[in-house]
Amino acid sequence: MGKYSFSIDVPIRNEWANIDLLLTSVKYCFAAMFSDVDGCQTMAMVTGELLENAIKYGDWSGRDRTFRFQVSGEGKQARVVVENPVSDVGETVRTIESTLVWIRGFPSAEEAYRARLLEAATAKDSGVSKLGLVRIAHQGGCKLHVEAAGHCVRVVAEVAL
Amino acid sequence: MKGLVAGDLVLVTEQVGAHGPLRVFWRGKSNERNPGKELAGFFASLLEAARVRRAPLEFHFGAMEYVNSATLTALVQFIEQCRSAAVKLTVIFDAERKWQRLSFDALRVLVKGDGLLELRPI
Repeated sequence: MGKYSFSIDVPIRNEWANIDLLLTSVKYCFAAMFSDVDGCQTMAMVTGELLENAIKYGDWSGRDRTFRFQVSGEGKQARVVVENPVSDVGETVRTIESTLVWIRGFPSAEEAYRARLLEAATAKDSGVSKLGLVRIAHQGGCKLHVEAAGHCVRVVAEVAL
Repeated sequence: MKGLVAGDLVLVTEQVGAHGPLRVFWRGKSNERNPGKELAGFFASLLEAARVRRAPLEFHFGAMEYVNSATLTALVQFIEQCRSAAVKLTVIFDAERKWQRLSFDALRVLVKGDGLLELRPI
């Protein structure tokens, strides 16, 4: 294991207050490892947006109210993974994949982000932003992908630190 | 005009003169599940106060630690409400902090020739 290899892998209860606990923990972990304040904020934002999506769109009808959060990396590359149960894995993967394809359809993630802001400005439902993934792609400079994992969906964000 | 405390978010208001800017200082973290709902009443009162006093609005984000994407959505929707009400809104942010620069400078896409939205990096 290299000098800058790191890994956090924890089960998280699906309570909204845990998002801030996790993103603050990640921010301080990265602050302890690196002196890059902007990089710490980026990791916190990526963590927060992925955890919010997991709790908002997860299927919590079962007995198990937990999901998986992992952050790992080596050198100047980090990987954030959130894996949560959903009611229809195939449909959820297709929905997320269609958002990722939509983002890749723009010359840059920044342009996709600006397009989503324009959409959000006139959206009638203020509770649904659809801004999270494109924000991660633009502000986090992340490569995103989604995959099925049993009855769960797994979203992976690769972050260049 | 009263401020607002919602979870980790604190909004402090300040009026400058009779028709001077109505300032809102955003502090802490905006990380609620549905911040649009939390902010709706405050935004409505703020917009009404600005209309009655014929005062522009200023949002100061420099001291904010974190905003989630749902808060940014609520903000862009409020920008459109201000435009409809012909109330000028100036968004002031700390351009030295990357996350603030990327979050708030992107709002430039909503700037039009009507002068009702101004972005001011500090």
